Amino acid sequence: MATSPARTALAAPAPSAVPAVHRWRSPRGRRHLGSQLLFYLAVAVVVLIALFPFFWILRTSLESNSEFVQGVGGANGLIPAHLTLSSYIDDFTQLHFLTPLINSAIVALATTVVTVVVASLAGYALARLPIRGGGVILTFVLLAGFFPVLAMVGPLFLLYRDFGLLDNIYPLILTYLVYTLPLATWLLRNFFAQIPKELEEAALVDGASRLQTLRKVVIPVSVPAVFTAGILSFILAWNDFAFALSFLDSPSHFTAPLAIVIFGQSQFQTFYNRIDAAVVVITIPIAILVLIAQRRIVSGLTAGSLKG
Amino acid sequence: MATIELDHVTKVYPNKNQAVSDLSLDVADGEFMVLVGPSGCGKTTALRMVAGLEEISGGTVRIGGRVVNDLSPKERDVAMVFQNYALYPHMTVAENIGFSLKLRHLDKAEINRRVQEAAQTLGLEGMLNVKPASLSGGQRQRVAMGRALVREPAVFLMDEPLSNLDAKLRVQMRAEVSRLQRRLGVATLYVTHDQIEAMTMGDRVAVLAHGVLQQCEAPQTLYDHPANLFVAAFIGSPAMNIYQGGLESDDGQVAVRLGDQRIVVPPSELKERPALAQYGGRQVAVGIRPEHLAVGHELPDNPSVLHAEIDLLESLGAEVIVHFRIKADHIRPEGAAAEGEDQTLPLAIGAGGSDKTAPGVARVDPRVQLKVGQSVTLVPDTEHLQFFDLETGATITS
Ligand SMILES: Nc1ncnc2c1ncn2[C@@H]1O[C@H](COP(=O)(O)OP(=O)(O)OP(=O)(O)O)[C@@H](O)[C@H]1O
Ligand SMILES: [Mg+2]
Repeated sequence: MATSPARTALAAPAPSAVPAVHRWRSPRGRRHLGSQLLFYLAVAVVVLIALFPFFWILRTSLESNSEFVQGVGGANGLIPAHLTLSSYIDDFTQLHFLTPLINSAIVALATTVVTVVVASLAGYALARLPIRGGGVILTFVLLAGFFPVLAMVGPLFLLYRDFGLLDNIYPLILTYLVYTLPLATWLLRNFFAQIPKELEEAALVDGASRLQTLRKVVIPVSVPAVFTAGILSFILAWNDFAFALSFLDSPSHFTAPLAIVIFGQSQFQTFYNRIDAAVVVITIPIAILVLIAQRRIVSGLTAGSLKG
Repeated sequence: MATIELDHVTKVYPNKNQAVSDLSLDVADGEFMVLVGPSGCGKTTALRMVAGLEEISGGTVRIGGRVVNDLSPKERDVAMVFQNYALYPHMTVAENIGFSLKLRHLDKAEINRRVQEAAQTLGLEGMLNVKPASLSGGQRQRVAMGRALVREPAVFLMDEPLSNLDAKLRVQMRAEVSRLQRRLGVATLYVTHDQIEAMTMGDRVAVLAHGVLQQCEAPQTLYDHPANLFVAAFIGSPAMNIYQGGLESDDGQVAVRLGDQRIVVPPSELKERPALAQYGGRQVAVGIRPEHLAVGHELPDNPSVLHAEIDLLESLGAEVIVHFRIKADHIRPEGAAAEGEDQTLPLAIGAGGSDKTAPGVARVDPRVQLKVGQSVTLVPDTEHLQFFDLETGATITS
């Protein structure tokens, strides 16, 4: 009874406020909330399924050798009690992971740069210059990009052997270009073809040469496509295993994916914690690239160039 | 600053499409020349040949006396405003305007100064650092103009720069562009399909149809003395009324018969068009502008009237546009009704012969009381009749 005055005082504004809120929320509001909950639940499930393998790799990479041996089969639980960077340290000290990383970086970056430059020029030519049979060329270009990798390995191996190019990372660049150039050329051509012609003509009238037009107008406007082409090329070269395995021999020439395989091998046991640490390391550049790409690949970059 | 000369210029596209035929046109230094014509008549093609964006199939183009046929756009020193503006989306307004100067390696301070100046002229000062995407249509149009005028080029080329603006802004920009061009005194070739734009802006107007130049004159001359049926029908809004009529002459008096109506051609017209005498007894095309028809009465001393029935009244405040029908043979030359007039009116199903009715338009004083369906007598100002040869379409003069 003693609390009742306070309660009534507090409740005083309620009669008017509460029904108002209720009327606003229900019944549609409540149903809306329910469907939203369902949506987030679905998203959570998808994210969980997609990320769980990666989580497991990350988790394993943070185990020490002994913990890993004890905990085979997940006995250490979802998150092990002791997290350590020892696998990472081992990778770089005992296993010299830096060398294959550098090899991979050289190969992937070179592939990307050559791809973007050459594919931009080729794509521009196919999109804009009056080339006889341009459509046919484009079809063949695209077909080449889908040529089965394993069908390519044999002939290229023989070729590189005859030219003395085996066990050398630079021929790999050439090999990757076989795949990256067609895809990038095709991608960029299609993007360039969509850019209003007047944009380039305006630049020409403004006093630009063809190449300046490409460099200062077409490419900047095509940043999303150029980035996409570059990232795809980088990832393809960075992730390649089949060609590297076939053409490289000595560990000092290995690329990262190839090196990783021999990492865990001791005589009796595969140390997946070391492999997983290396996997985490080689995933980082890709993750960064995708993040950058997300920021740059904004749709509608040509917005505002044309009429009102 | 320079002149533009097109000398028998022809354009045939690779698909054998002849877009421009034997076009000869001189734009004097500082002149505002408007190239007008219906859609697809080759205006853009002609402009692009001057800019160097389209190969010239035949003839010569000279800018400032120099043959430019084989020069790249860069070497021609022309500035062009595109129909859809074509602003560089990745550059700010200032960068858009200054792009051509940067390409010519002017120093930063100079570029800045000239961009500021252009922005001031066009009222763009506040938005120099935004990208085109966040501008309105009118502002984009201004940036496109700015990009052209910052260059101080030999000549300006403009391809329907106002066609994407709303009506009010278009009228405003029309005056602004004219004023600007006059101030800069740069020879300008301005393309439009809007004959009002052509009439109000041009020092001279060149009318193009099917890639062929029909007439190139000062706007008033074009209006008063069209060279042929096409120009007569294309220039003027509402368009000129054109009917087919028989020319009769007896005892020195020449008259034209429209249905059962007889319009006497005054001596002044005959003197101005001596060739009319040879058309006695033949059919001709007779044209009369809407403002040369008045609502009135048949008077004993002036039997030359038209008997019309009012179809539709459009009140514009200062005047009333009267759509009517008369008994006559209508001629709708190609190029007529470019504004879509008449087309919504019911078509008369004539019973044949002289019972056919033809539509027409008159501009009358709003104080005259008129009703739809009313029969009225229209008195033409016969001093302003136009006559054209039915076969060639050419105006009948000497
Ligand atoms: N690249 C091309 N190849 C073939 N024919 C073309 C080409 N460009 C234009 N044409 C044709 O040439 C003719 C003239 O075209 P143009 O663009 O000059 O017309 P326009 O007078 O500018 O018309 P609009 O008022 O619609 O802009 C048209 O019949 C058009 O179909
Ligand atoms: Mg055009």
